[in-house]
Amino acid sequence: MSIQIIQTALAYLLFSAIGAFVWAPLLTKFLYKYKITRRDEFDFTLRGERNQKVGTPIMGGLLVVVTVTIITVLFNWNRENTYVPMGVMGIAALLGGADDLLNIFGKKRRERKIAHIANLIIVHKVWYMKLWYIFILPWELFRKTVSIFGSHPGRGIQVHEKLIFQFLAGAITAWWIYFKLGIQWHSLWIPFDGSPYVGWWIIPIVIFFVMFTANAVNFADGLDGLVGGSLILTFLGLMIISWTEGRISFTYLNATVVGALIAYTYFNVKPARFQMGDVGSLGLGALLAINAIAINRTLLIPFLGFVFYVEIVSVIIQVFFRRLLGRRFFKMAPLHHHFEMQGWSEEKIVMRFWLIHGFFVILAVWMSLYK
Amino acid sequence: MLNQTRLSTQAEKVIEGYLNLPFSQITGVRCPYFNNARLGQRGQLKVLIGKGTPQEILEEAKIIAIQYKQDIFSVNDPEQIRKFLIEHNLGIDCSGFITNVLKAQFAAKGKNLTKQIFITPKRNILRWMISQLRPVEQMNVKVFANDKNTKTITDLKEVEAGDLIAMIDTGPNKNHDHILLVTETDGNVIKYAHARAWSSEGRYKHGVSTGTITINNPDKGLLDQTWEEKDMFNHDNETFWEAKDATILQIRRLKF
Repeated sequence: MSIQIIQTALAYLLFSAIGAFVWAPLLTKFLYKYKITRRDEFDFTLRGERNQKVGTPIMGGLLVVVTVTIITVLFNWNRENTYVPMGVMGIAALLGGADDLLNIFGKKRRERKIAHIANLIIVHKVWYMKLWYIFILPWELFRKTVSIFGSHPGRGIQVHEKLIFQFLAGAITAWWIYFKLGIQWHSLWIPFDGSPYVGWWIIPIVIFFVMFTANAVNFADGLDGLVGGSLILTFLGLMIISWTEGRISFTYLNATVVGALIAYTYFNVKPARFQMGDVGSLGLGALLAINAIAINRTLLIPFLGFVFYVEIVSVIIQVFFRRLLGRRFFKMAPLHHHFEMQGWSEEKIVMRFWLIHGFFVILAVWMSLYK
Repeated sequence: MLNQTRLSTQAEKVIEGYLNLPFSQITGVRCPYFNNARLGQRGQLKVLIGKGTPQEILEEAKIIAIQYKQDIFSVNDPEQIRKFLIEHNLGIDCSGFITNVLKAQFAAKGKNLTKQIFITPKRNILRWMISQLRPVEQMNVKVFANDKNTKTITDLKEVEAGDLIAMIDTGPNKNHDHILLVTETDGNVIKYAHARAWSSEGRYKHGVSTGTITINNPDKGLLDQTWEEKDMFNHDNETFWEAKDATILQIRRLKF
């Protein structure tokens, strides 16, 4: 735990923040120029006071993703450590970016009912079309099943497609952890209980955490400043844990993310100059997970990303209640919308969530110190 | 002469809630009729398939108003609000209305209606599980008219508040069922409440309503009495038409 490491990490943080601040106006101009902005007609959460968010640029998460990528590639590029986290963040960010753009510029997606496809298999006169419909039926069943539990945006990338890409990001992480990082990563650190050997079970655990965390951050991104401020605390916590674990590259990487997030959050607090978009939330969510996994603190992810996990769990509970019991558990999900419906101001929700999140990040850092 | 009977205060409060939805500063919003049969939505909130309580309908209306940016609750315009409710599939169907009122009636006696009522078993295991989780949605007219749940009352003089008037296979095509709830009996008058859309009411006038059946001759059947609802009598009264068209018209009383 050399003091020099933390000195360098803080230099990364400051450099990253300055770099992001410098090019943030260019990004804003770019997003306005190409009208990558929030549209009223696609977003039912824009009402009342929130209606002023119409026209705010989205994909502001590019500020963090691009800044972190450039600084890491130039100064912290290390095949053993930062190579795969950058790649996974890139895949997740690409997926999110494509979704952001298709949500604005894409055409409405057509949905075919399962019964319709089944009927076509029976009645279609052309044999190869029959075969085609038989071939696509399992895919359509998967799509339909997933859509029951997800939203129906109508345009953009659909839930089932997102899940496949996220699975890919999780699988790459798992491959890297299991095959490339060595035998010591076949153990799972458990708070206060050492690191029992889990062998190949680490693969599904890693895939789960990468997918779940990326989606969790994505769900939480609904109020100005909420995700940005919370992620600053999370990556600060990860930076400290990486430092105490002697993982130098990760200490620098996390510091770089914190710096870029400071600049992002400066522009994102209410009234937001731009919003994160899926490009940032999915990318940074995946990076959060992989950075925690790479320092063998997988089980701390729910604490390091406490607010994000609470938000995604609120969505799961709401969907469960709606589909199985026919009633709402929250007035609206994710949880921040519930509090909005209760009459809390956006600022009050965001600041309280930051404080609660900060508490759990500190708890995670404290727990991580016990081997 | 009929015995003087009426529903419990809690059950009457639920009916009052449907007749005048409990918006905080707006009065006179009668709950519209909504039947999910046309849309056939599955796995939906029960309030969106015509099975919600007055409070649930009100809460959902507020949420939908926020989602669709319609600030309709700032103006005291009951007709505008009813239009909003109808356009967003918020309302109650006949069996949903009966279920929620009877649930309150049973709760007043410390009983749970949904636990006691017999719901026809589903052949599909998934459907069966869902019916266990969402019993209110399974309680349709045929469930109330099932001999395991209710018994037939043949003598009009024995009718009491809480009894049901079931109309099975009614309408011109004999393809739907309807049910009324007896809310009060006094002298020679049976008062009832139900949720129904009359064809003469158009798109926006329907909803929960009350009516009376005056017993002129207790020795004759229901159709030989005077039905009055919305100031319309017998052959002008569409509830009477439905009763007349029904393949089975019975007064039924819950067994428990």
